[in-house]
Amino acid sequence: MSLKLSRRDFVKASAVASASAMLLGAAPAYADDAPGATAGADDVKVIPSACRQCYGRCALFGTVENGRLTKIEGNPDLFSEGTLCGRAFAIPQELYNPTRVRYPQRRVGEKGSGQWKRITWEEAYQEAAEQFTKIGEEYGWHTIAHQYGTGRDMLQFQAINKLWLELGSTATFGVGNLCWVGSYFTSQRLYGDETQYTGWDGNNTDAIIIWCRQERSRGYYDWLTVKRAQERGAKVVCVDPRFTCTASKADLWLPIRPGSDMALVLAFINEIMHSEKCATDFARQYTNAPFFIDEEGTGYQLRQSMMREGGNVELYPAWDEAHDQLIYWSGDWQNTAGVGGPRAFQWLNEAGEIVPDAVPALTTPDGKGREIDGKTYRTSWDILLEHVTPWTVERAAEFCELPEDKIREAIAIYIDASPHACFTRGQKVEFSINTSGISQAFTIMMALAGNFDSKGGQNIGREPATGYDSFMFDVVPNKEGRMGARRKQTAMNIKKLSVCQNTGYQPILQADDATGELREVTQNSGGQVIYGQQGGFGAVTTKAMAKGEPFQIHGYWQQTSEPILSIEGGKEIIEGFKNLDFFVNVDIFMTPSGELADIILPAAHPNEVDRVEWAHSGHGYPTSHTYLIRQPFHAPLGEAKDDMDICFEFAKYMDVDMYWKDKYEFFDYMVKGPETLPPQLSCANFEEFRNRISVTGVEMATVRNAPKYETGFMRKTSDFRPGFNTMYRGNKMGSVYRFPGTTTPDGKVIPAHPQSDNGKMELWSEDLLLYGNGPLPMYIEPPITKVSRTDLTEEYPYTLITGGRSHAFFHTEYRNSPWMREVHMFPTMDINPATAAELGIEQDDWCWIETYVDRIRQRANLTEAIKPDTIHVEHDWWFPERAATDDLHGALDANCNILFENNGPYDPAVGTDNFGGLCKVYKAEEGAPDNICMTAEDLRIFLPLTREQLAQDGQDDGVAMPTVAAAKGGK
Amino acid sequence: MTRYTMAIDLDSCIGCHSCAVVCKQENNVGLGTFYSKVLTIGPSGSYPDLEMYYLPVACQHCENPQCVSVCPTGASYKREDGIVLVDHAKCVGCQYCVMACPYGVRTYDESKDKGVIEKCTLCAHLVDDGKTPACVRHCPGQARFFGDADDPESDVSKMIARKQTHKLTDVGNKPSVTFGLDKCEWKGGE
Repeated sequence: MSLKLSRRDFVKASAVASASAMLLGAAPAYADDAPGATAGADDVKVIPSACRQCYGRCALFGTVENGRLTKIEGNPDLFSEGTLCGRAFAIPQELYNPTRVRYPQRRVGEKGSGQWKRITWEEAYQEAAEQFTKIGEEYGWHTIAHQYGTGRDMLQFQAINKLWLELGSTATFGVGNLCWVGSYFTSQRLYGDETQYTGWDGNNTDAIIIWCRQERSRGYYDWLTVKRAQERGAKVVCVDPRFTCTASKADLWLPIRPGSDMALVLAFINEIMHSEKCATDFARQYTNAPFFIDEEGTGYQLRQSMMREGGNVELYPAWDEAHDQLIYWSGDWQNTAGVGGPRAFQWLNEAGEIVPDAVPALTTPDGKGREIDGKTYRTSWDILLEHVTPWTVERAAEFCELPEDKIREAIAIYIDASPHACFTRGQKVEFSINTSGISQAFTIMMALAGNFDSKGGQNIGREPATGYDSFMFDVVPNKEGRMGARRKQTAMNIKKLSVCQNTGYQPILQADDATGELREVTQNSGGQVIYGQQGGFGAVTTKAMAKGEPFQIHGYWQQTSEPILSIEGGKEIIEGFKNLDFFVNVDIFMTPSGELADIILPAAHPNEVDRVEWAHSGHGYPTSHTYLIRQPFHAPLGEAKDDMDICFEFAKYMDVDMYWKDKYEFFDYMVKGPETLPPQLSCANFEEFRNRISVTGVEMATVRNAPKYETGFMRKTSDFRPGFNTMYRGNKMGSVYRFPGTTTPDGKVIPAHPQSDNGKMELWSEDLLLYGNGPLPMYIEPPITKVSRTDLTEEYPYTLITGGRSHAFFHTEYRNSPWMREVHMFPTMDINPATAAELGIEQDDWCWIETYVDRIRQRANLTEAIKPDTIHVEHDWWFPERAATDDLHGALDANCNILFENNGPYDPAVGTDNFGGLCKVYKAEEGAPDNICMTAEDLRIFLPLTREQLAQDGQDDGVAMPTVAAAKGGK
Repeated sequence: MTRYTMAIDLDSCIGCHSCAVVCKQENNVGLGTFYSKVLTIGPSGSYPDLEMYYLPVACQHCENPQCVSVCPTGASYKREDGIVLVDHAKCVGCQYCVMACPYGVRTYDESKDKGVIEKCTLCAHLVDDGKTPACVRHCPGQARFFGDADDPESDVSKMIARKQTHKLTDVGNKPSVTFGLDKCEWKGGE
């Protein structure tokens, strides 16, 4: 086992003046800092820490002179190899930004008036406690929503979630269900851990498929892995509607029609299943492929109990090719059905004896089914094969508007390189009402190509450096029976208390497998399982706040999030926020939604707090296995506090048992890990971890020289049985699932389903039958395309997409950063020159982009990177340089998410909405929106406040928001 | 003789503008001024048959710099190690050099105490300290190389040896910065 210790073993963060001399020359101030503020600094520290400005978590050093951050540099000893993107260098501009909230504030004018008065923390906590308690007692605690933003750390998320679940809150706008959770939920249900956003072994691979992901959207260091693989001879395939940076570097680019991805993945699976290289042994032994499906009856996987009176519910029938007999897989690892103990996770014969040399058949004769006890059953493999076989390359070419030869080439590259082929996806492919289905399809593609836990393939699941990950924050207290009474009550009555209770059952356009024709069907209602939370996603929480459906939300706690910009239907969200009786916003900066709050609590910047940090969202080894320190460059400005501390403190006012005394008690637990952890990976406590800077764990597949599913390391139950972790399946964890026994609107009763915790990966999926769009990954046409809405195409002739990410920003962040705005000043619409010529649009013209819902303005960039008749607009734009009274800091001018409605359909499992559509485009004769920064000179209003300015301004009358209008002598 | 310069592997450059921003930090560059800019070249061709690369452009530290020849005060000068610099004590801000530079990489910066010409210094203050320029050290694509063009073992010479190389248009000034590009057709800086 290896342990990667930082070569520069900094002893402690403080007082490393010698390191400063080693790393840096004279350290000039960043732009326009007060002259002389840092000259001759006598107290210089170089502090190793981590960046939180995207999901990549690059390792860096901050130079702090006399208590002020003056310089950021890359740490060459960790996975980011000393490289850093522009956003990291702009951290000082965030820290000392004039728009930062440094003291608690109470609103004193109308909502949105921008009028605030400073209050004390004590006053803020007191008032919040009184108001929330009043709402909870009068209307019910479920009428208080809570919210948390993306890209914050998972530990912060755990604290917010714990606090509000204990308080009985159920609704959120969601975060990951915009992206990521579709994959997370699906892979948890199919095999018990993540793959699509965790490790991909680019270091040893022969082929990399990069599906709708840009090199420079997050964790840029991944590009180093990709480029080295390419230099080694590995092929890189990029699937993306746009000619992105990734596409320009790839060996093969598939310019896919937006939203048609499923057709292409199904063609991949089809070719893989018909290929000699298909991982059939894996399918037989580790998946549910040989299981019979009770198609005529319950629709579930067949159990012996469904076949015959008195049959065992933990026995899954299959056919043994070796002995021509019926055999049963025992899922009874919990030993509750009499076929557990040594017989669990074994093939048994009718007599209940283990058949060690059983060869479970993948297919039945001719795929038509096998007769057992007078009934005919097909295997799940039969059904999957029948499903994908019509999805030929030709059909995919038609659906995806791709040349057949390019599809063939891509599939050949992938299959030829398997089992040393890997795959990494971006989140754009997830902005869909079929996000759970596409994630299932990717899982099947990777699994049947044999790329799970292989060298150069996919690492299955997280293998953090220590044995514990962030989820233990909530898991440990619950295991110890410390779940609060209200939380329990809420979980038990969730059907009545969830904002999701009436969702689903909407019409969708699904392709008929046999003919490929699109037909209208009614979608499932999955209850929208939101990742550890009790339910809720953007659209339904918006409806509850704005329209009182299914009930009125009265209170709201929001922490570092901006739904007006990041969720569809922003105008209705504003309406909802105006309806609230009480709204607390915790944030670093003044934001559009913050202006509608009653109280604002100042959050510390991520580089002002202690955390255990790790790269989020899909990177290879060692990145995927590394924890690193994120520690403060200095104390939070003013009276700002760590988000986690705010949760712990407010919990005391609300009488909530957080279990952990404070964040450090949990950090200590986390970095120590379980007793079984190799000692070199364990830290005595957080302080030891701080001194080590980072810990990198091991890949168990490498250590054991076998995939984890063979050695029992996929199991989270410590039984180390070969197989997968399937404990998350079914209706568990108090989430809002579609309950068996529910009657659907058409009168169908959903049959009770037995648990399916059987150690097998699901390809055909019982869980997605219950909670997703169905047991198989189906092609579903997005709701607003030229294909699905021919009624709209005359007025709105162009395909509109919104998934691109800019290197200058991180979602809503950095619009107040002089340096980042300077390299990307305006919201930018990409349009093909031919389309632009037809419309009389020239480079840099401001244009209206209008859908049947609303319109926004962005500035035209004429580029061949986008297909004619397709428009791409940037997301999450606002203009902090406009006043609160000026359209909530310009939250509606260029914000693409107001172009989409929020009335569904959504992904049944996780609630993901649709973020693409049809539009028309025309030149904005009025030009740019009023009062926005047009030149670098205008950006001066956002330059960092000096030490003196910070000291002088106690924000007694709120944050003095700088505006362009004021700077130009206007209002 | 030492000839410090830079070589940039455009096949590795992802156009992230990190070099432009870290330069601002390292050299205290004011708003509105960039020592280093990143241009997107293309996409050329027609969708979907396209090529594109990014071209970071800063002072080319020419062997025969026109900016030095036209400078009336001797503020613009070339060091013996090849780095072209501006001595702000001597610069009067006449901007002759701005007009003489074929690449538009010199800026007249009014925001400084007195109007002077600003441009890439190849981080001479770091180089003199035995270090590499900030943009080289931090480049997310590891696309930038710094070193002595006369030393075959330098990072610059090694990149030049392994790639097809190009320079910006030479109008007699002999730009020293080399661009490596194998995967696309070189279109210059257009």
